[in-house]
Amino acid sequence: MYYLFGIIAIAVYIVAKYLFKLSPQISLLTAALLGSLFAGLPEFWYRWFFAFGGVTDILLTVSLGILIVILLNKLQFFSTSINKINENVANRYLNILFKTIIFAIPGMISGSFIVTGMVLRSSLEFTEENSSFLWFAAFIGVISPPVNIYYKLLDVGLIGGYGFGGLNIINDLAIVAGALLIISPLIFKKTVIKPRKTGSSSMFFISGLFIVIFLIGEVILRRLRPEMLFPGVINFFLLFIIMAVVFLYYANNQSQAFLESLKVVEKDFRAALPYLFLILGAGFIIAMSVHTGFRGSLIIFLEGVSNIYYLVFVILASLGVAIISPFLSLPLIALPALFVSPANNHVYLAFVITLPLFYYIVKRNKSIEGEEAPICLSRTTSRILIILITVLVWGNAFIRII
Amino acid sequence: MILVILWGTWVQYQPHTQDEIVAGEYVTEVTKLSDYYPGLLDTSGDTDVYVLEGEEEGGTILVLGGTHANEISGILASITMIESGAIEKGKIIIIPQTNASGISNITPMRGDPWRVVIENEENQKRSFRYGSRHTHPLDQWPDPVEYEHVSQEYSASGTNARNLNRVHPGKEGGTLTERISYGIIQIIEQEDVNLVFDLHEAGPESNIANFIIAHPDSLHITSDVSLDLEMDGYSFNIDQSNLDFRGLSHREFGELTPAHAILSETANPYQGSYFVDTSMSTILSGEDEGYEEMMQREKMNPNYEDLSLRRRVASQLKIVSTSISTLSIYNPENELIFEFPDPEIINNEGLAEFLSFNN
Repeated sequence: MYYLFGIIAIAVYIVAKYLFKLSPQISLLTAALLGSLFAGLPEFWYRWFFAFGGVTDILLTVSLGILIVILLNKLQFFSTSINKINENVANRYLNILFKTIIFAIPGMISGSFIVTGMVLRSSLEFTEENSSFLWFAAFIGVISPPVNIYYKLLDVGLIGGYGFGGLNIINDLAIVAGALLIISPLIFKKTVIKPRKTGSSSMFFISGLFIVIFLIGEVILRRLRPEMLFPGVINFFLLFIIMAVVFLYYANNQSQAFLESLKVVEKDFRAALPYLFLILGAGFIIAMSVHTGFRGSLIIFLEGVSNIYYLVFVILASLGVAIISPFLSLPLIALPALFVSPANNHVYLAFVITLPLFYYIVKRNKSIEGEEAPICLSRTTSRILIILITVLVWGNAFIRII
Repeated sequence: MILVILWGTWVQYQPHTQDEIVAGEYVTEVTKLSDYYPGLLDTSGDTDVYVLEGEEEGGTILVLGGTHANEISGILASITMIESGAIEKGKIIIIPQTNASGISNITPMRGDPWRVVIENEENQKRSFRYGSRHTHPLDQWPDPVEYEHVSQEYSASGTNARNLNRVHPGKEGGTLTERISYGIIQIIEQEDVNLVFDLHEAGPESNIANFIIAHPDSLHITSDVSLDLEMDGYSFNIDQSNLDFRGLSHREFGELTPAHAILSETANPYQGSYFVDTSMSTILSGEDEGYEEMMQREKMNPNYEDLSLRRRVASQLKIVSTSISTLSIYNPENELIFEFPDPEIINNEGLAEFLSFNN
């Protein structure tokens, strides 16, 4: 009976996506809803309410993360950094090392795969031949961060499934709404503070200041004072306000240019929305697989299988599927998230967040015909990366299952 | 927008709500943990402390339920003692929801039920929050990347900073969780507690399920207790504290205070990894298809006959009562006479008789 959710969800997804041509997002959501409805979810509406709260927590936090990194992109943080490294570091290996750090740091600081996604997006605009390495560095930066703020924000109970997610929606709504209010004068047709005229180098400085503000607020202060001055979520909001005020105050050149850049931010954010909703759909599938007992039944089923077969199966399947289609290997990457204990949110996050990233890569790859893809990840590279990450994720789950 | 921000801020600062507990006629005082340690005043870590003091002086014991707020048998055993226990000699101090912040928390990605409902013969219901192992992240955040115990002799993953049974003996002015622990130490010292019980649960496949763990100085008590329990049909193994594993109640209380320190672990399927039914019935009945399957495959040792909540609560009460009797033998000056809710009635008929349904 507990397998029922899995069977229904997969069937509904296939029907929705391939027969009715619905988007993956809607298909995932429909699969989660109908699967849990017909699989006999106890306290159905209650659990869906809190699952909704929990998963949209991620969505709202992710949105804010994306906005932050879009702003960094627009302030040309990455391109400025890369150019400066190219100008000043002749040694090839040091050059790559410094670039790797630049791409890893945002993920480390934010602890957010979302940030990695946006860093990836920025790297897609580069023509660097080694940008795939940089992409992987960004991913590694998130997997093993020395400073992991937003990961902790995501980890400490704001991740979905159930519980106080319902209340956290309100907090996150307040935060995101407030942040949008501050950084989107387009909404209200006027800026809060009149921007000044400064040189272009200040943009790099401001970007660095942003990172320093977060480091001060989230790392150093926390070490000096074990008790936060404010609850963590409010602290995050305050830091974002500080950042936004600084940006507005030191905006480059004419205010009109700045407003134009914010228009692009809005456009970028809207472009990111489908991927955010993909996270939402995937999150609901995972949440409902837990609530309906599907996850538990899978664990029990696999307990009866010799462990060595896991790894062999995964490697062969990944290789085979990735050769056929990287996109089809995505569910394979997703499966370990179901087996991992709730304490190991690394793997869960790896799945939830890399899913839209891969989707984006593959979609971009597919959309280009008859010419060199503008993105720097070749099909071969993306396949190799998918296999590597699959093994990484599965290996992690494998270790925990045995 | 303003309303949303105000609402979000209001939510942030709301005290978490604890379950209402009806003090029985033998409860002589209901106080707060902050009365023992003011550093918890007006925090979500402050919790109710129930004192039952007999007319005759005797020993003093402290019972901690809800150190991990999802280990429900300890919480309910404590509550039955408060609402239906009768003291004659000595003093019992009971904290049914020791980590009050954890009571309001939920464990992500487990699909835990919101509450556990106990029903009596008149179809009256009483519900109890099924919380989380950790202090609520809204009360203590962010977690460190790596948690370092106050002794600096032990470190673990960052979430352990919010695990009350990893931060003992706590620290004055530390994190909220450390302050809760510190408050408990103050009770032990100020009340001259002779024996501390920390009531827990573990997954049936866990290597500590159905165990009684004590500081090495208290092994003589738990050895006798284990034998007595076995004769009464309750099978519990014993183990001693690993002195290198810091932060655990039995290790720290036993090492740092004059009190004997005992921790009990009953087997709860909902604490484990193999349950498939995420509804409340798994917690209440202890029956689950997943665990039945694992038992058939002989993946679990030993095979459990009864994992129901009533059995687990009865077990906790038997452990506490037997330990008190044993301590009284070894230390007659610490004798305590307390009439416990009858574990056999609980085991056979449920908890309802020993809970108040007139809230």
